[in-house]
Amino acid sequence: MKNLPRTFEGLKKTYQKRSMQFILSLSFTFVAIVIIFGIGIGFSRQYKEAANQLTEKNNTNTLNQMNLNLNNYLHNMMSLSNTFYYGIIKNTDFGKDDLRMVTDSMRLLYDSQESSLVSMSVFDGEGKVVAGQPFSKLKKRALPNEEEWFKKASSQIENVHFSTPHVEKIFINPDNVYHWVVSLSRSVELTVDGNTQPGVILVNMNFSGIEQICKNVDFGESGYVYIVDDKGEIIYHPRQQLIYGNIIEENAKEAAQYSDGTHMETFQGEERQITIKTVGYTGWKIVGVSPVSDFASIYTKNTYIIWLVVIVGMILLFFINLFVSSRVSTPIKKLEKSVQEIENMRLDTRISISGSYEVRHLGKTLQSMVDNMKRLMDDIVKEQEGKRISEMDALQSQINPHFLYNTLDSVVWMIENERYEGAIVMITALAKLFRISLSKGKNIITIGGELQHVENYLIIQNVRYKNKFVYHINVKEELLLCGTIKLIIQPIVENAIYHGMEYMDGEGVIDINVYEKEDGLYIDVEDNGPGMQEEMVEEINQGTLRSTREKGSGIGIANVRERIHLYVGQEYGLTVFSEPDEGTLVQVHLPKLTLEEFEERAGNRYEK
Amino acid sequence: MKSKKVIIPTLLILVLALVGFFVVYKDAEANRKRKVYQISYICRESNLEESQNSVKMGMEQASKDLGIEIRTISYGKSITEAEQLDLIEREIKDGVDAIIIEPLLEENLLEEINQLADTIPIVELNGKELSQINEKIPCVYTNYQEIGNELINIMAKNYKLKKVYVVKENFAYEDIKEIYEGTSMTIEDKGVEVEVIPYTEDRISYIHSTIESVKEEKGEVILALGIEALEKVGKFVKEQDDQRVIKVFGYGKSNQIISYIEEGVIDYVAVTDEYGIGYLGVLQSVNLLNDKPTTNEKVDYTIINTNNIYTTKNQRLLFPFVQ
Repeated sequence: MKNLPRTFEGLKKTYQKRSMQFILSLSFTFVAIVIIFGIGIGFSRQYKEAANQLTEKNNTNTLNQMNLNLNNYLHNMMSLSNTFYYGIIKNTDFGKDDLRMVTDSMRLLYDSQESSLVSMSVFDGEGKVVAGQPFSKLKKRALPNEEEWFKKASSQIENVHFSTPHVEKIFINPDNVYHWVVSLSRSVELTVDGNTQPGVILVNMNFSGIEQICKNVDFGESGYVYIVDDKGEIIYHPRQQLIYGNIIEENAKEAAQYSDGTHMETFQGEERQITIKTVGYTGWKIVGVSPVSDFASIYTKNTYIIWLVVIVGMILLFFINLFVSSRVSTPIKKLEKSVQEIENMRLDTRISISGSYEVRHLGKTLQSMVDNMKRLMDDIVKEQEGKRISEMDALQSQINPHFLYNTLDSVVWMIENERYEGAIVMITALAKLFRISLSKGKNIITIGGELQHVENYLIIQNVRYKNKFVYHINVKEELLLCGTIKLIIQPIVENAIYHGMEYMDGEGVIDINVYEKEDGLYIDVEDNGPGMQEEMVEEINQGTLRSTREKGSGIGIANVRERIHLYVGQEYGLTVFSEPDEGTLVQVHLPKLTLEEFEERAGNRYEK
Repeated sequence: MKSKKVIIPTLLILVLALVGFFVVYKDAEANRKRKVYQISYICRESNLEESQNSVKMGMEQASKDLGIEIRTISYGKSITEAEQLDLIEREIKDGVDAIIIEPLLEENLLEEINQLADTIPIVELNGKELSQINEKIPCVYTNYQEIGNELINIMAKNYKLKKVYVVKENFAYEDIKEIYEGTSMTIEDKGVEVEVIPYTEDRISYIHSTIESVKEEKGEVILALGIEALEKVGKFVKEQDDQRVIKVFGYGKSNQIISYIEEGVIDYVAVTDEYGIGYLGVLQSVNLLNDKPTTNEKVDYTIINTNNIYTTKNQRLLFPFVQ
């Protein structure tokens, strides 16, 4: 008992670890078997109960009918004895009347019931035959007054008495035929010479009459009916001769003790249903014996069929369960296998889509998810590739040999012309420019750092362009620490110088203004150069104009826009405002974020 | 998956085949049990209708109970052993399933019947000679020697027994032979004289004259063995003026004999349960046919006289109640 919970837990765990098909099959089969088994037992018991009750009812009805028939028979005999007494004996004075009249009347009466009678006779109180039909002569040693029927009739004068079956033995039968009879005897009053004397009527009923009533009773295949008196002595039994010869036995003594109704008994190892009915006139008991094996064989056959159906049903259900669970679980198994493939990063695997609606839906959704995942991954790869290329381009622009050569040429010229201060300024600015360009590999720097970068650039360019322009950088101090993408202002300023300032003669102005609005941070680079045609402005704003690599850095506005979009999204970017002879304004729009916030947004993971 | 598609239907077919076999087998078994056996009863013939009646009644009851058919073939008193054997073989040839027989006590015949027992079940009635030769042949019998013994003892007890006239039917029947052997042994023990008179046509007048001379006061008693012999003796005794001085004992039962007992013509008669003998004989043969174990069956007897004919037990024995 103590191990039961542990065993149960063990079984539960084992059960849970098994495959879905196994669990489904086992569970459904188990439930089906339990249900069908229960139904089988229920039907079987119900049928057995019904068969028993039906047998009991039928047996009772049969015995009732037999009792009725027997009572009718006995009643007939009693009526006959009444007729004998009241119709013949009462009307005769045995001392005076001619006895032939009596015997003739008796003969008529006898003939009317000949098939049922062996003899009828009347005796005086001493046991002497007064009259009799068809026999009237007594055997030499016959003593009627010593017979049980005579004694009972004489002592209990109110009643009609029925004897147990016996061989008729008191009358001489010329044919030497010995009949089995049941004797009906009653006390009568004989009139002899006007005086009343006691006498006894004897009516010997042929036992075959009773036998006929009993022997045709149908009590089942091996059932039968017998009659016993109150002492358990057999009156009639279909096999009574065998009982008399001790070849077979009967439980008559015990049956005589049963009350009316149905009883169960076991006799000689056989279970039997006993039905009892008492015959009113005689006190005999009609005993109906139905071996249980008789009606058991009926419901046994049907029980076999029921259990056969149950077994076949269980087997069929088992296979159906197996099939259904297979149909349910196989698509899920295939789905699971596909998921395993995906788990192993084989995204080209096609998800199995089969089975019921829900499983198919699951499969389709999973396939869509995988396709999306694959597309996103491809996009990320492309994006990263794009970023990398853009950054490489931006970096490359900074390491443009032409700019470097020109700047160094300028430095050499200054040194040659002993303009050492200017050379120092240029070299210093160049160093700072490159330092910020690299920024230790970071792509996101502060606004301050970016402005510093562009200022160094402007310093260098200003020298090179012999002060053809002036520049102003305006920014609030609190915005210096905001984050920005590296190298976005310098290319714009570069364009402004190359396209705007080249033709100015000391009157060129480049203004760099950094300010904030509700929707973010703005960096405006404005020049008072010749401006651009509307079409060009449009092309630049739509990104359809590709800048060519000229004397400057060559990357241009497209690269800046592209990088802004890559890092912070499409809602930010770059817009050009320009009109011919009105100068040009390039406005960069970025989110206003701290450096850390900007780095996070841009995805620090993309940085080296 | 393909293997499942093969296994499942195969299993189903196997299950259904098993079920079908079971049903067919049970049906065949039931059919086998329902076979109606044909059994021949070969018995001695008699001029009296009543002889063999009770035995036949018992057999008829058994045939009803067991669902078999009985055919009775009786042979005449003068049948030879060859003729009886021929009768048996003819029945076997006719296709009977078993034979119940009262065989003649001839050694060769018994040996022949013994050999036939290997081919067909045989049951012996009213004797055990065959059964002693071959235990495969069961018998239904009464202790006839004891009957003979008891009859003589009753005689000796009631009368000053000096001589017994034994009127006997054919010794070729075991029951009569054994009763005689029983009486002989007891008679010899008691030092009583015995005269055996065969009951044959040519000895009828001698029997008649013997009866006329027999007197109880002389210590003489008549013992008639066999129904016909006993009835004849009874008839002769009844013709005498004073029947009471002639003491008659016997073996055999008929209504006439019973009426003689009632009238005091015959004093004591040994009666066996012939109904039971007939019933048990059939039961034994059916057991042999169904391969059930069989044993020799011994049946009771009773000695009846005028005082005890109508006791409950005796009237049932003497007057079988048969439906």
